[in-house]
Amino acid sequence: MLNDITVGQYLPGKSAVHRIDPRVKILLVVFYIVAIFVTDVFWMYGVFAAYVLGAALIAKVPLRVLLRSIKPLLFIVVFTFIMNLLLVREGELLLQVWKIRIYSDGIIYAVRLALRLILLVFGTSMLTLTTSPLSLTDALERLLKPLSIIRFPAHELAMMMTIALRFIPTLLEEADKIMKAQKARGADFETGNIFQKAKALVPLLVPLFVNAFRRADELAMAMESRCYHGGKGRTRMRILTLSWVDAAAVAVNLGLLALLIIFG
Amino acid sequence: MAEIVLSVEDVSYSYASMDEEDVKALKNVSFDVERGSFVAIIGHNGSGKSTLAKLLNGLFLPKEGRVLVLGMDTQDEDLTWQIRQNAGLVFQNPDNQLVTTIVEEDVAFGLENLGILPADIRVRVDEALEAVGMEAFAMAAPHMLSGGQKQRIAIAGILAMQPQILIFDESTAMLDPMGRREVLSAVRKLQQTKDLTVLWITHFMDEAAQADRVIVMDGGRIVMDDTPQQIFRRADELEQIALDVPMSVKIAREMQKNGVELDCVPIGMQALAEAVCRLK
Repeated sequence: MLNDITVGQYLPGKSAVHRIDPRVKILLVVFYIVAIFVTDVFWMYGVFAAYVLGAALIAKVPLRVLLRSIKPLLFIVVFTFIMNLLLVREGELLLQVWKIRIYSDGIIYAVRLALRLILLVFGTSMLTLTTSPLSLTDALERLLKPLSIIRFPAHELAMMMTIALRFIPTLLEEADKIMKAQKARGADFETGNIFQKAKALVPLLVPLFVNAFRRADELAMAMESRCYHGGKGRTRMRILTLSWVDAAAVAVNLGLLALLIIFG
Repeated sequence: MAEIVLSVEDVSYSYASMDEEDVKALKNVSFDVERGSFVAIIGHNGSGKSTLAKLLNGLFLPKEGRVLVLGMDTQDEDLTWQIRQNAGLVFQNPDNQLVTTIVEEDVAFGLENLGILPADIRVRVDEALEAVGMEAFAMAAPHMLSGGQKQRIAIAGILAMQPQILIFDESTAMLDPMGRREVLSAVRKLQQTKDLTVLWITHFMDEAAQADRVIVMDGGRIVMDDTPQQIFRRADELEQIALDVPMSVKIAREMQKNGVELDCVPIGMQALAEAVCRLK
């Protein structure tokens, strides 16, 4: 049951969007997020939606996959929509049913925030759908490297993320194995209320944690014997170079920036 | 006489224990290893063989005596990285020694730590993957591979650092028979083609039988140090320290009990078959 979990949601591909340098891609997504929260003009949301959907089209990301990414946030989107609708008391009064009053500005705020959240999820999903987790951590390390002068642990952070990504499948496999072993001896993980279920997980989590610590110890030994001594003096096999794809992506975004400046 | 690449001089090591006195894992161990040799170290659990492995590349430092890797003392902190680059250590659990999510990135890990130039890393990673026959899996994720394949990746990661000595700390213990054969034959091939020195720590006697020399450990001491033929001749002594002999030797002993005397101690099924053919 735990085996079908994949880390992240990366869809491998060779499209132009996939080939954008991960560093550039992260920066573009940051710009995109800022932009959708800065603009108040409704048709600009249309432009950004077209931009994201265009990127999805180029990357051959199925629309269904992109829409599915909203699911975990659907509750927040609906919740903020309703709150805005009910609590904003500005503009014209449009509708009054008993104590519930809906104003024109309420509708505008509600729709605007919902659109912003949906676009936010689309944009960040496009990043994780088209960039492998390894490239992402790699790019983050490189982008954050300048911050190491103020002692920001960029390398350590990236190494932790890499190791976490490496061990998530291993630990899931192990959890599955322990679960089966416990079930074979009569453990019950499925029945009972939430407290009973949580309690049933204790005999699963204890060996899992103990093993994780043992693994960590062994991994540290193995890393040390492969001469690991932190980020100092370390080189990387992969060289990230900028290409015309990055130039094109930046050009498109400069266009968006121009629209943003002119129309707000 | 060939050049000595590794020498252990009167080494003792103990683990700190909270309640009683320290646990002595190694007691006055001494031996030298010649370049290009394949040395097996055998002993049952707790005989000190894993502790020994960690002393050989400076992960542990001897409490007494010294360990010299290509003449470099492991106590010297300035030489630590040079020693570890030259004496590569492959561990038992393949899962716990791979660091990254893509095979070729993992093979590059050691080289990246050594600060090698990116272009050179690329070349050495490709060579190392080819040397263990895993070039087709360069972009695979480690958790999708079999135990034997993972262990070959771990070997490639060490090999890429171009060490002169390879130390295997029970690297086949967690593998199935297929994986064990796969790893051992890869190592044998490397040892012969690249003139590497191999220390093979194991508790499988059939693996030890393939070595040029076997060191037997018990209770933190070296109790025997000889060729496999000479070691496995002493089956009774091995039994006393809870060690077995290879299957071929076992068969020969059973034959002897039944009055069939072979003219040698057969190491391996091939040797056994030949000895049987020489019978009148």
